Amino acid sequence: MRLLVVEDEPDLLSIVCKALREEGYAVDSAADGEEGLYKATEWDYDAVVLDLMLPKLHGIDVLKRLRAIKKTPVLLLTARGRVSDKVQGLDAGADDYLPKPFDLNELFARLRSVIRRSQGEAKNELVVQDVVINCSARTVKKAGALVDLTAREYALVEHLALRRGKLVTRTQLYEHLFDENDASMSNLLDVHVSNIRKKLGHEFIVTRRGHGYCIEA
Amino acid sequence: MNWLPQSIRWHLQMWHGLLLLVVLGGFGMTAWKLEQGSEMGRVDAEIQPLTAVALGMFHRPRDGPGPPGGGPPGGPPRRPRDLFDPLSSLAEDRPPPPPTAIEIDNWLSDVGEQDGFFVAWGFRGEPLIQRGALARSIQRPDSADYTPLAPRAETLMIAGTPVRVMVVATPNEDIAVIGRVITPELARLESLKWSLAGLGAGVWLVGFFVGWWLTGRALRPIQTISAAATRIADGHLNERINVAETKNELGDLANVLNGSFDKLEHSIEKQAEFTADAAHELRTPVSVVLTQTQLALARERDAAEYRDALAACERAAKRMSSLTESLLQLSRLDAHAEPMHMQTIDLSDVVVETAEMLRPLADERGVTLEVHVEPARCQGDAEKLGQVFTNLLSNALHHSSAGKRVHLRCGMNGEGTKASVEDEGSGIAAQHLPFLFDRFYRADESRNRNTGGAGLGLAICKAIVAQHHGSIEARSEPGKGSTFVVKLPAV
Repeated sequence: MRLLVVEDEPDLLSIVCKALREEGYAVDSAADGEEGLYKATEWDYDAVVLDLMLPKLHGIDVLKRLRAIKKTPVLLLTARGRVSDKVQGLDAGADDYLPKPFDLNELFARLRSVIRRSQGEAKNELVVQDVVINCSARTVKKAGALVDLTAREYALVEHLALRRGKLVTRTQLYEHLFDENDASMSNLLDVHVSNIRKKLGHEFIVTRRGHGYCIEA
Repeated sequence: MNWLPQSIRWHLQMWHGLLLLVVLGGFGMTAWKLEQGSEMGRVDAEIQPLTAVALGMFHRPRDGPGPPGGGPPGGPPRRPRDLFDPLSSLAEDRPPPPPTAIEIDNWLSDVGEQDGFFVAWGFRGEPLIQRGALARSIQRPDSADYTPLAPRAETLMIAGTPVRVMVVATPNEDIAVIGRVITPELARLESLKWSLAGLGAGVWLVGFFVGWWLTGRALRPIQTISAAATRIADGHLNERINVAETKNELGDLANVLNGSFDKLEHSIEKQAEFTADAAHELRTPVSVVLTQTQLALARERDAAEYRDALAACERAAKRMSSLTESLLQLSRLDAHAEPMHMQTIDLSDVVVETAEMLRPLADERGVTLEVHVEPARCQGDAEKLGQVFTNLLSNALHHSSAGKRVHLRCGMNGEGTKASVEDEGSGIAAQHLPFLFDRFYRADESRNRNTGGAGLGLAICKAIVAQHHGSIEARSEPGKGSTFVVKLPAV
């Protein structure tokens, strides 16, 4: 999962990004509205965490302009907590609204919920054959037994499972698993896929040579 | 009078009732008195001609039949003086026994009654003589203060019967009374009295209730206003008193009240906004502390991570501290509770000092400070004015890029003292200018909150300058720069 966090308060931006990375997300950051809008339109993030009181371009305007082009889930994280602000934000196209100060766990849960809905999933659990993926606990069980996956491996599995039956290109995987801070080599992806196959079975991830990967439904 | 209701209406009613009572009572009594006078006058007019007739009776010779109209039987009347001198002898008799009531009655009907009129005189009518008024008038003709009795009209009671008489002196200086029973007249007057009283009471009652109704009507608008004002004051500040008629005094009152409510609502709104803005400003640093500590405690971390988290918390705490200080200062300034030590000072000293204090910052940013000051005497608190110029100069420096200049000027003119801080920075768009000194207003969003503060600096400057009875204003040309001018009145 790759997220974008747009927040002008540097201490808060850095800590939210860090927290989300520790949760296993790839996180991009932006410190003002213009940068945030630019990045959000350039890449397909799994979700955007957006502050409202931003310099250069107000959060609501960022949201409206983004909504004209994309359906990326947006969670508003802002100090403005009045009912009128919430209504305005949600009506402008936001998917959720979390006022500051907030609890980190609540932020994580709401993000998961917003992403889950955007993927068309109703539950926190994804079941593929005998593999059960618990999105909130970030665990994978195969035939009832817990499988030990690294954060990256889990992210890969989750991403492919959410798009099961569909082809996911390598580029798309890059964009969703690594953020701008990662100086990754492309073959890292293959290493992760290989490790996953070792743990979950060779047939779990199907390679479409020249196109990408997929998990069969 | 504390037990009476204190309302205006009751007071009005009481006075109205009292006045009405006095007026009606006076009118009634006057009318009755006039009627009485006129009735008696009528009777007197009837008696008057008979007086001469009666007096004529006393001239008749003694021997011979009694006068047809009836003269005194049994001889000439005794002189009144005889009654007062029991030892004086009379040829004829012992003093006659006091007449009994029956005798008087009989005598009345015997003597001199004719067509309802009677004549009586002096000695026979002892009770008459002993009536106070008549008694006084009986004096011996040879006494020093004897005055001849002038004829006059009187109303007397004889044996319980009211009579109206003319009292005259007989030729032989006895007293004669001629008159008649006036029971019917008195009865008429009595009934008139009761009629007037009844009518008066009726009119009074009607007037009282009409008055009650009128005062009710007149005072109803006051009740309406009072009820509406109570409701508004209880919290429905968006409502107003309904002013149906705007031309009378109560309409004016309602308009004044509505105006006050407008100001009150506006003021409370502003206050609520201010409080909300203040709390809002605190949310971000609080959020930083909360998130940093939550994350730091989420798992085992190394010392460097903890230090980073704590450093971020410290920065946030300092932000909160500076914000609360600014807020407190603003609220003190609002309440005129901020201590101001007003003295005669030279404003140019303050400006120069401020420039020196901020010179390191200017140097750091590569900005040149140009100070053009002249002595400028004014009345003020040097420390607070220093705060104003520090704020203005630091704003100017933050808006200026390297190589630019900031001009500090100070001088006096006819109106007072004037000082200005001019920068060559990016300038401020015209749409921001009216709100620049508002609390929490941040025109330049690109200024990072960490360095910029909450937007209270200019509001505090304005409040301090206002306490000095001065003014502060901003002029700006986007792209060219801005000038902030502080004016203080002449000493």
